[in-house]
Amino acid sequence: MTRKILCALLAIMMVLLTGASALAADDMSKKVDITMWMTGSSSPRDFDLVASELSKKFEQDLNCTLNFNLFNDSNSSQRMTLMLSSGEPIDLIYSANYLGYANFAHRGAYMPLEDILPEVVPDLWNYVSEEFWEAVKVDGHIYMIPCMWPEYVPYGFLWREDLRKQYDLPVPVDFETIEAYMAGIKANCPDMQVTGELVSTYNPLGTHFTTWELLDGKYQWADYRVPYGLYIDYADPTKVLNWWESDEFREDMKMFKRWADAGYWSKSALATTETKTDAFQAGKIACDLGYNSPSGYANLVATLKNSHPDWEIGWLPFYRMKKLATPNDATQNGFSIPITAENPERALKVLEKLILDKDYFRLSQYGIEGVHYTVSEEGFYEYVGDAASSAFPREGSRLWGTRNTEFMLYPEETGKILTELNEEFSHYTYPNIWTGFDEDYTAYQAERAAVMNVQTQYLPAIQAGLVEDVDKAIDEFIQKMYDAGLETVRKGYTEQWLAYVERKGIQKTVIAE
Amino acid sequence: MKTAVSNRIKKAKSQIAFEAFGYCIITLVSLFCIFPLVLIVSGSLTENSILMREGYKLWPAEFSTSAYKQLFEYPEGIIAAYSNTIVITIVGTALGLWFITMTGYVLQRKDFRYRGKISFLIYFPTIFSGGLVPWYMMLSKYLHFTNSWWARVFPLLMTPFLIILMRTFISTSVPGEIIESAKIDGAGDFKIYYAIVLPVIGPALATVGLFLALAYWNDWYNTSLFITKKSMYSLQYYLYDMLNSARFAQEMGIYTGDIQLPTESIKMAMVVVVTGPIIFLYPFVQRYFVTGITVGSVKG
Amino acid sequence: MSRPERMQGGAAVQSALPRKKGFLDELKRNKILFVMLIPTFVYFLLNSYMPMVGIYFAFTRYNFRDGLFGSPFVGLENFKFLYKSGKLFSLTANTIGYNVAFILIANILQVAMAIILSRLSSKLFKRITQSIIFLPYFVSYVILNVIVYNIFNYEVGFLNGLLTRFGMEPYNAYGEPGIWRYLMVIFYVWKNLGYGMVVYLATITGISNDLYEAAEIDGANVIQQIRYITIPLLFPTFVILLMFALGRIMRGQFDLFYQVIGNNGVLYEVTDILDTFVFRTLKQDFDVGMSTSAGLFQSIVGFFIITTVNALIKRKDEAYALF
Repeated sequence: MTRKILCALLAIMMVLLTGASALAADDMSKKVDITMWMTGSSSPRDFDLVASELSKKFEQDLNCTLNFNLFNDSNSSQRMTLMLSSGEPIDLIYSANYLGYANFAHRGAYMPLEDILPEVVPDLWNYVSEEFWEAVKVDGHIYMIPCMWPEYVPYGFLWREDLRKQYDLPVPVDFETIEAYMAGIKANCPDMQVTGELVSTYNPLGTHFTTWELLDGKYQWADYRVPYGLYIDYADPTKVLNWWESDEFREDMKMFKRWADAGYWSKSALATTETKTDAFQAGKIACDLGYNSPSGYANLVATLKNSHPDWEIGWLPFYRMKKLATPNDATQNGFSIPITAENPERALKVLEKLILDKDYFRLSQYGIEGVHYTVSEEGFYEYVGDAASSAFPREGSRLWGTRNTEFMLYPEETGKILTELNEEFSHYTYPNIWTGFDEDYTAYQAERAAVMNVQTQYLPAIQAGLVEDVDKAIDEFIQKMYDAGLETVRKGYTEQWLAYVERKGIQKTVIAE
Repeated sequence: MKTAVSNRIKKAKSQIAFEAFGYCIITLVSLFCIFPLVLIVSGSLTENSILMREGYKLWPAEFSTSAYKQLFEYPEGIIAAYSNTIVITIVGTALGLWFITMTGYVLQRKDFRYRGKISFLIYFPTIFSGGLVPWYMMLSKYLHFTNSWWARVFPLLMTPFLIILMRTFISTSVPGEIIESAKIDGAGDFKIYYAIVLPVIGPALATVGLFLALAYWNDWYNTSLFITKKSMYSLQYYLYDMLNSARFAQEMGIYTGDIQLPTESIKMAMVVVVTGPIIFLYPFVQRYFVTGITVGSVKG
Repeated sequence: MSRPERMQGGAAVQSALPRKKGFLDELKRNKILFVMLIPTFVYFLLNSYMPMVGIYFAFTRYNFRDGLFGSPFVGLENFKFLYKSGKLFSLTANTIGYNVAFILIANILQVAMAIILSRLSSKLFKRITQSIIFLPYFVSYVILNVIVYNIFNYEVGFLNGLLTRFGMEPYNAYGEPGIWRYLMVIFYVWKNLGYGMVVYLATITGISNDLYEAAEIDGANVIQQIRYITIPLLFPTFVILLMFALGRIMRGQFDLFYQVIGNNGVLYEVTDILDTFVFRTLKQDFDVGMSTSAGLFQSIVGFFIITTVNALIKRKDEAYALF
């Protein structure tokens, strides 16, 4: 008897679990609810207010309400998998390369959009460049509406310029001067820690110590995100080289060991609980070996103006060191529609409004004009009150995927810095040959998992110089990597890269000095 | 006569020695337990930049209440989290106690044939589970718990351990004969439960109730999975969210723009605000531990 | 329950019933009792048993389009990442080892604290210290980690501050994996001491005073009373707590290890448990199949351990066996 009941339950469960939604034509007279998800924890205080204002507008214009949510990002991959596999009603979800866009696409989480886009949202279809549509394709399908805001996202060396002047240290322009700067801080500021490097789990490179980001200034690699210790030279992308087993890698690691021994970062750096930003703003550290992006720098300048008016800072983007800049990937930011979405067409229309309609854009990005922000006569963004206490700070909704150059507003100082830097980069910008490449590792998933685990365990300590003997540590690390299946993983990756290079017809490039 | 007196003296001596030893040990253990908490309180009262540079001290290196001022500049979030957590804890504990006592009562009824089998079925999920994904699907897709208060109440309603605890307690404190004679007098099964069993199991209600209440009070996980509305955050999740947003931004190298991440001393102040008031709860519950409880096995 | 009860009341009631009837008769006879079980039945069905269907995920290469039963069956492929890692044995050993240490040490200390506290006469002292010992239970491991880091941090940590003040060499705790084996146990005890103590305290309060008085008249001193009365009466409680803990022996204290050890690979050799390993592996690309297979592995090994222990206990004294 009990068995029969169980069988019946199992049968019901099976039917429920396999049910999928069908795609039906959008009937605009039918009122629907569009659910939209972005990543980001700690939503601003007025988030719900802005969301309800938006929803009201949509109700008038598109006969739908908008349910606007943030999902906690400390464990985003699991969270996204849960949401997407449970089949709960989600119509729009933020997606990005660093959140595993391609991987989710490979596994069928998103709806292919190339057929409905031109028909349902022709304006949006025309607004996104053909190059970007091409670059976001996975297995030949468009699964993402990419953000068209052009952005450079280089790492760079950030330092306290006021201290440099005070102690008459050299201006950081290359590794030598960076080292001299750090030595000078160490000698002159005994109660400061020179830098607050730490362990990062940035995807898809895998876990590493952030000193590694500095090497972006040394190598002209096609992209800094090449995993498994491989190296792809921008000038000749048709070859995939073995970096970890090269002498240069050993030299780099010995340099870090030298810095660690000199005490430029904590002996407990692998365990630190402090963020670099927090430590820098508290005056604990004097520099940061891998500070990310012009926007970040411009923002920091603005923040420090309030909190530490007597400070000055400098930033050396690594593009400048190697005279090679590439614009961001197409998949850096965007929105996708889950395969289970109930109203994909209405969702696209909502997205189109958020990107291409100025009122929707400003409301969703900056909040309510006059309450949260104002626009100055010169067209700059100005806080009502200040940034620190704002109930809805600039881009407080985390809508990075809908940024549109035409409607974007910047605070005066930020805008100035961004323009200057972008102008500078434009002189040595080369095409992003990386965008559009995605690794499909379903075939060697187990090996990849094992390899990544070994990397997490052994590599950060080497990069942090917190090993006794660098050569010995590297030998052991490489050996463990091979035991875990490094060869299989590298082979799989290399084949896909070379096929991509051939398919795209990517040629050798000469980079001007 | 002589031996009795010497016995009493011996007893007194051993009792005194034991108590002296006991006071020392308990004091030491209490210090060990409270030491990290002192660091937290001191950290929350230290100026952030000093805290970052010099680390945590038992006494603030530079006294400052600015972290608390900043926290309470906009207290709506904390107040909402506090009030909904109190309500959820009360409702969840009450419902949980009701279901658990009913189950405990049924499972100790000797004339209930399936009590052994059902006890085992209740224990079994301790070992086996379907894993996170199907469980999440069940609650979000089929029960529609996303952004519902049920998401915070349902998952913690009962645990196998608490049910077995309750069952054993009822069977030891309510003799089977009483239930039998009540039955013969014509009392219904449910009447026996509320008129005879419930009134005599006070200590068990206190213990099981305390454990249920703790689980509700400390819960952040269910909020993290099912709740996205800030006004519905549980207290511990409110704290967790604050602590982890910074960590995530750091690990993933994500640019947070104008969104200010909490400083170290604000985090510690938050811990104090979230945890502090609890110190008053436990002595309150303590009073109900008048008579004890015993626990038994699953078999029944 | 124990044998005596079954022989007395139970047997009498059962013999008065009609012999061997089916489920429906029982349902009819005890329908109120069945009704009273409905909430629990629904709870366990929805919360535990229906999701168990998802164990099938462990054998599929999950894709979102096809769902649970549509995704291709891949046999044991998903378990590959566990044994491919070459660490499965050490991870399992660590998981079980830590749990055994946690269970035993925490329980012994909880019992000791409960006994000592129950014997003290100052009510105020008892009340205050009990609350203090309970307090760490409310502090999450995220916070604990901040404190741990600030105690053991090489440059500005609390410990090294003390050491250097007394003219000693600073100690690099984060470079010494060995010591973390003990620290993890200390952290666990710190947090859970008060919680388990409550169960034991409640049990001790339930022990009849007559027993102690009789022992006193017989000239037993405090230690003897504890040894011959309190501890034997606490033993059943200890066993049941142990059995419930054993049921979860393959599930580590994930939060403790994940928060405190974090990304510090240097310590993994001694501190990596199955849960942290699996979490790390899947953190960036969560895979339903791999996640479920790891859970299934834990369930099966856990089931094996609990049934073995239960059989051993049953042979010794059936009253203590869990099922």
